[in-house]
Amino acid sequence: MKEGAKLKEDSIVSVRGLKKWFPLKTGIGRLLSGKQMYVRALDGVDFEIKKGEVFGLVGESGCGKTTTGRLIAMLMEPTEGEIFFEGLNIASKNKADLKQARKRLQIVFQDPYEYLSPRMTVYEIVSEPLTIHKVVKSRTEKEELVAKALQSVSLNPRENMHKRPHELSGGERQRVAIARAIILQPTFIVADEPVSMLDVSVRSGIMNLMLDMKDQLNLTYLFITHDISAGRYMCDRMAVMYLGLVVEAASTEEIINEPMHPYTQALIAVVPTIDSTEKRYLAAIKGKVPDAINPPPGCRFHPRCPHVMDVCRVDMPKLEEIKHGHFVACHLYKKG
Amino acid sequence: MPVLEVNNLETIFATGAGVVQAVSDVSFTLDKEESLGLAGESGCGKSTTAMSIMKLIRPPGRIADGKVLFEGEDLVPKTEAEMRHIRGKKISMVFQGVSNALNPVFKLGDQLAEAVLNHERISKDEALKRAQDILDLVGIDRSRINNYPHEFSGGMKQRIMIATALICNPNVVIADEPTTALDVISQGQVLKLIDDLQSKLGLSLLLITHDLSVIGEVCDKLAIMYAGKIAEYGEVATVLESPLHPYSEALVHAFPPLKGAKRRLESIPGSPPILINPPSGCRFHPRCPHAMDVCRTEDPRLTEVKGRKVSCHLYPAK
Repeated sequence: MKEGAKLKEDSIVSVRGLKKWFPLKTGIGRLLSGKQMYVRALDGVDFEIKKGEVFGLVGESGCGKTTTGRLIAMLMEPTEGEIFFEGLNIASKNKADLKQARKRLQIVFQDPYEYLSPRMTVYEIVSEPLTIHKVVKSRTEKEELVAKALQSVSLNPRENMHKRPHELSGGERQRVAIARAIILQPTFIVADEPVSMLDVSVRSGIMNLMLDMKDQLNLTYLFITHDISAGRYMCDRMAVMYLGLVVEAASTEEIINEPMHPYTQALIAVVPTIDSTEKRYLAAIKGKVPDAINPPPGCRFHPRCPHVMDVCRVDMPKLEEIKHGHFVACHLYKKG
Repeated sequence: MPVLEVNNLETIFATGAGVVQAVSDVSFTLDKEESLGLAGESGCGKSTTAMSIMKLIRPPGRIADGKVLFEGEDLVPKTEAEMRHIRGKKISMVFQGVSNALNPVFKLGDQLAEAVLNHERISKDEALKRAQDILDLVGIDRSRINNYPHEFSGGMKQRIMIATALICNPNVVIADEPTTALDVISQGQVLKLIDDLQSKLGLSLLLITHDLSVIGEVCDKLAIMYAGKIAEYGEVATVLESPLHPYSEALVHAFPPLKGAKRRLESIPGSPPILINPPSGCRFHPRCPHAMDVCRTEDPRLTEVKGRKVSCHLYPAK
């Protein structure tokens, strides 16, 4: 990727050959073989996120979607690969560069019951980033910014500023988390399952809020979810992950209506929907996701794939653009 | 005669802060080989309803009023000893949170056999044979009775929980959020299994979930609960395609569709009431876009409207 290191004009995040292997600390395998073993959470992922879009990462637990989000949010360091954010390689370890980037790149986590400190007030939680990055001069300025951020997430500042998280409902907590994420006026937000802990009626309110704020504040989102219906509502484009790799990436409508990779096809087919109340045959694929310590050789999906060929068992398919803007990693669609 | 009939069930919890009216005046029936979905958001009383049917409500909670008729017999006055013959044998339950339900230090076969030996006087070998047969039925290799729980994946553990529930040939199975903790594909596998087994074994199924789309896939009938009461109750297709109660309408429209036209999702303003002091009249009126004066004072009754039952003043009884 030497000469390709230049970013495309319209992309805000570009991920290249990203790998994250977690060493296994103990285990009988290591004792017997003397070899360090790894969980290959992420094993070479490439994608670009365009400015102003909502890019989705979907897949089952353990597919690497959260790891990808955390790497992009600079919460851990990659084993290998590059992450460009606004032209800056944030996989490098220059602390000063990272601090600048951190101002413009924020994260919203899954469980609002867990990650807001119970000892801090809403005011302290939302204003903390201002203090860390030393962007305000006076207390009044800080208060104004916090009030503005709370207003933009539809929370009344006066009523809520002095509450602590236990006094808020799940939806309100997630609103506080979003207020904290936007207070430094970021350009990009990683949202890791931001609605999956919430009740349905609250969930739709948060998703609508996120979409409205995106337009008002010119944000770009990486939206990580296991819920494909929610993903469809939020995302312009999606990447489907399986066992540490992206198997398909395209526009959301193409992923849902014309999935090409056999795994995506199976995934879309089993999503329960309320659109049709006909009993469909839940044509589930067999078996379970193999473990990421010893992933299968060749295509990682081959042991479960209904279309498996000889080549799939030995040769790992690369992610290639099969149709315009539609990337698939599958030997069924080999060019030529 | 329905297999299970719940009449005007009322379950309360006497807490220090006051009496929580968790389930109020809930009635429904479950016919033989029928599947009924009980849906609603957290705290609406759906799990408490299930626990009341099984008589698993522990103090400070109690069933204050109503009947739970199983094959015509009221379970509410039954003693704990009598209930022990019914639980697991006649009515069994599949709980959510599978990883906690299996004992990590016992082999799978022993745990399954225990479920049989509680109810039937047969030898351990026969019980283990039954355990193997039931594993066949849920699609797990019968040789695995000698494995420990940690050797199974989440989806397989949920199958094992279903196997445990079915091993004594119950008439009614109550499944409380059986797929909530599972991934999409495992969820699909488990739902298909439930669907297949239900028709194969002629089970009556009460499925409790917050996810209307799961009910759409599996159930014949649907009851939507709000704040301890049934808001709307009828055939799944009728209720999901044309919900009448403002709450069920909002709930259905809060689910993003997977296919078809994209529309802006609705959210319901406010949050569900605390059931120590539920709102007067209709419990939904503070959040309802159509609230009228009568809604603030008078509790609507569940009445027959357009082929389903609705409790809402917009649809007065004739």
